[in-house]
Amino acid sequence: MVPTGDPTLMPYIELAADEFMKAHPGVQITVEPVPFGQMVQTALTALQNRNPDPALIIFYPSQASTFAPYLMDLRPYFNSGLFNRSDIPMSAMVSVVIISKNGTITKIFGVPFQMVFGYVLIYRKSIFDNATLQAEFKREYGFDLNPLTWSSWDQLIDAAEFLQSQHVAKYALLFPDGLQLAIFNGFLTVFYTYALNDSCAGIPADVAKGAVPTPGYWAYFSYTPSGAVNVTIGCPSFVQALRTYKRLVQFQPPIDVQAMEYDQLRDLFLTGDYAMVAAWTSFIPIYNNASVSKVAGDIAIAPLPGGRYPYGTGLAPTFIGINPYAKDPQLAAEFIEFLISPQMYKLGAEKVGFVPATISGIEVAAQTPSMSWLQPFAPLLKAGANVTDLQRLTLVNRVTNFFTDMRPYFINQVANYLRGQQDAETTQMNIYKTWLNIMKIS
Amino acid sequence: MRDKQILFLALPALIYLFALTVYPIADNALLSLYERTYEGAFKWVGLGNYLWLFQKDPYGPLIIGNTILYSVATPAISVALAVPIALALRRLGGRWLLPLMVPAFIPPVTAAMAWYLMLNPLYGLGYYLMRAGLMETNPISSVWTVVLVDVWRSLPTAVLVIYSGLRAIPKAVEEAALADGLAGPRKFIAVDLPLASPQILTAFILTALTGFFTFDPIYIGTAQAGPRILDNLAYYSYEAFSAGEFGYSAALIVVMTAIGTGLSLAYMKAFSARFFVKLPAPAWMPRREAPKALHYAVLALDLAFVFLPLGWLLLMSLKPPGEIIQIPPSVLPSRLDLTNYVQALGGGLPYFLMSIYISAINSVVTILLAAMAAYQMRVHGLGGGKLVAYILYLMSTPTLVYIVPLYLVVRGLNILNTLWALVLTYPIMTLPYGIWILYNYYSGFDRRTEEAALADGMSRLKAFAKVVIPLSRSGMGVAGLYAFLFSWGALIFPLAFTYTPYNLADPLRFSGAQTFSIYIGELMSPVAMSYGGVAATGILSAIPPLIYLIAVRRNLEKIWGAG
Repeated sequence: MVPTGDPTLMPYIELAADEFMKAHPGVQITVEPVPFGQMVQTALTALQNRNPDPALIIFYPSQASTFAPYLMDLRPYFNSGLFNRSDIPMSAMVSVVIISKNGTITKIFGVPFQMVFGYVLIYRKSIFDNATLQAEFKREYGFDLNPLTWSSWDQLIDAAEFLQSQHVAKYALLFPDGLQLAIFNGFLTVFYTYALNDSCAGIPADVAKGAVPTPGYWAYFSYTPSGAVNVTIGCPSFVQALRTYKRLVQFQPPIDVQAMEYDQLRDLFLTGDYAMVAAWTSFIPIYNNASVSKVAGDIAIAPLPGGRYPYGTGLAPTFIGINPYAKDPQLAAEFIEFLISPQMYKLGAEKVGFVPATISGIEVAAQTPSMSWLQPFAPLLKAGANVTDLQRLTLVNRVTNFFTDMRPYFINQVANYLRGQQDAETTQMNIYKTWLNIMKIS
Repeated sequence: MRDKQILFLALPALIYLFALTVYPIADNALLSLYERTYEGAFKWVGLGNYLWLFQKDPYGPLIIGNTILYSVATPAISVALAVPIALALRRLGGRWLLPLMVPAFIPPVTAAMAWYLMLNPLYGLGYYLMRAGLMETNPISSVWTVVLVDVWRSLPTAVLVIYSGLRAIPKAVEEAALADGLAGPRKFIAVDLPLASPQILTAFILTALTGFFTFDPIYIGTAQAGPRILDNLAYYSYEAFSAGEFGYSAALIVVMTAIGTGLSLAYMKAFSARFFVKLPAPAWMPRREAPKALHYAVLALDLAFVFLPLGWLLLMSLKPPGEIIQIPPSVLPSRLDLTNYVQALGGGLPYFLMSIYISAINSVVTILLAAMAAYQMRVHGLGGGKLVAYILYLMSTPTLVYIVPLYLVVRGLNILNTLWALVLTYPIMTLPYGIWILYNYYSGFDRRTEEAALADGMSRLKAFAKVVIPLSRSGMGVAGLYAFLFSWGALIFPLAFTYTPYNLADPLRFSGAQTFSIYIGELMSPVAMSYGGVAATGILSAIPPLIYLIAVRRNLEKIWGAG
């Protein structure tokens, strides 16, 4: 079962299926396309009824906790070495790992095979390579007009203010604030960078020190010394992040005119009206599609908030899991192994521009000329190879109503703040109190 | 029971409905008392899910409020608008009915997308409205836009039903009113309104169902309004189900069906009490017929309301990709570009064919089973009010309830991912509605026709086949039309029971059975949505139901005129 929509995912799966069938005569792989919005319902219907098809199910991090009880435990394949654990960054696995209360891994139900980096800053080369603008900016602000050298959100905002004042584009910066998903993920990017330096948020030392790009939902939850679950919303870094977030979205149409959800991030940057956009790397093929995009061939990519401190850019892996009632789970596991092999990733990068999720895969893909933009991101993946406090990083998986009750409330409160209907402190307190009141821990 | 053959005729529909609905509904009620744990086990929580909805869920009261708002505002506005339109139609002729009916035949997702694209404040006509100061915020984020889209979709049905009621007023009554000097608004208050009250009530209920089940405008608008802000119980239960919160989803469905059944029972009570609207006519109200120009103006406004979003959708479908999201938006395309249609037809053909097959088959199955049951229920009183109440209850039950149990049946029969899986399951959606439409239709049926056939020596079965069915063609045509519409727009069942497109290489096996609505859903993926492709697919998806509409247009008013 493969979600439709991602411009490289389905072609890569089809490519891998063809190659696998060539190598395994007699094996027939049927790809079942499913619209993004119907993925969970379609898969759950089959899994709950113990149907052998689909044998393999692809899913995203926000759907992981829903699938957790139903998908096969893949630890035997990791333990046997069929899947090379050292090649898959642990920071990309936190959504598919179940940890017992004493900290041991009790189940792994997915393998990351596609990596999306997000958010990254995608900017117009024709603007940023303009020598006159570069000189003027340096004179005025004292640092380079080069996102790869920036180190803070303030520098990004300064650059956006400068570009807005120069009228080089209709809008300087497009930043996610859509009220379905984008606001939640966009804000998290900002919060994480402040939480890293906030003892109240208690980011695990190895993560903070190594600046692992793991701004996942886990950052909102922590253990208290007594072992209870607390939320980090009440920390000072949350208010700091709120204020910065509001400044980041000031360069685009107001949220009550047009909230920037993924489709707007994807479409509006194509118009050439924006100088920069904070987007997912999966949008890059669309931005570079000359038949629809005015910015095709004119884009460069940098981590957020800047190349020197890339901690705002996280990993958003796409996972593949095995249906425990599949006719031949071993064969399904072998297909996954094939899917994440360096040779298949090389083919995928060359033929469909696919972004791998393994360390070796990223290195191979980055050597493909059209994928050279991946090079700055390889170190981010390596930095996340090992993390120790898995219990903290997987705690969010135990919050059973995180997506259904807590996320909606969060989004609406932050939106009220962006609309100017309440201040940052009120927003913080509302979310903090309500989350503690409604949180369900399994 | 007066005659076993009466029961025999109704049995196929009743066995089908009871066999496939009673267990899922009971199972859903039971499930509402459980909560799923992280490990996947089901934990007994008693009334915990209900208490959560009413006491802790931050959006529980809002969602119930929205459900009531959509279920009341949509019919209230639709009926209020439908009355002057129906009067205009009666005055100017029924030929205008056909174009006015078009929105009822547009798939709901296409309707929502048409309004979304048109009102968009950056690349839709909303840009100009905002520039002119006529709006300040994105209208898509308002609950009233959900109502607007639902009114757009349901107004045609309200117009049709009320117009049919006005046309059914006996000529003698019209002449007597004229002789008494009653005309125009005064006649409407004194004569038309009381006599057309049953149809007005029926229109209210039919349009209330649109508001009650509304889904697509919420889906489209949430990214602008915020999660839960636009939700109703139907949408929220789907969201909870999709997130794996099956117990809570089940509880929401129980609450939803309780509200729906309450509305249905209120309707039945009003209907059986021969509810008549009787208003005093104020002295200032003119006795003369309203000028024809006023009626033309009413129709013109309605036509503009109907065709503005569709026209925008058509223009979108013909624009080159770069122009669709151009700011400021261009109204006309710089050149006609058929790329979107080539894309829609190229990739969508297997889905399109499968939708045609299942819609046609299900329409035939539905009308046959529904006619056999509805006739016995209405003319011979089979099942009494309780059976009618159960049919209305099924109409207010979301199809989500049936998925898991039916999946077991479909898999057990080894017909998963085939046309036959859809043939088996689709009547659950359409049969209750078909029975109810024909139940209404048969209220005006002269039972002496059947008695004459029996007196001529025919058995009841033969009389039904040879006499009743031929005389029911107009009613069955309309019931089939609605069955076709539901089948054409269905999404949840094909998603659950199919997983590949129709295999055109081996067409007679009918394996692979994904439908056109799945194809539209694929085009609307948040990552790669093609507005032009969605627009072209939307236009294409409207064509088969519109052809059916044209074929049965003459029967439309007969069905509701009986009262």
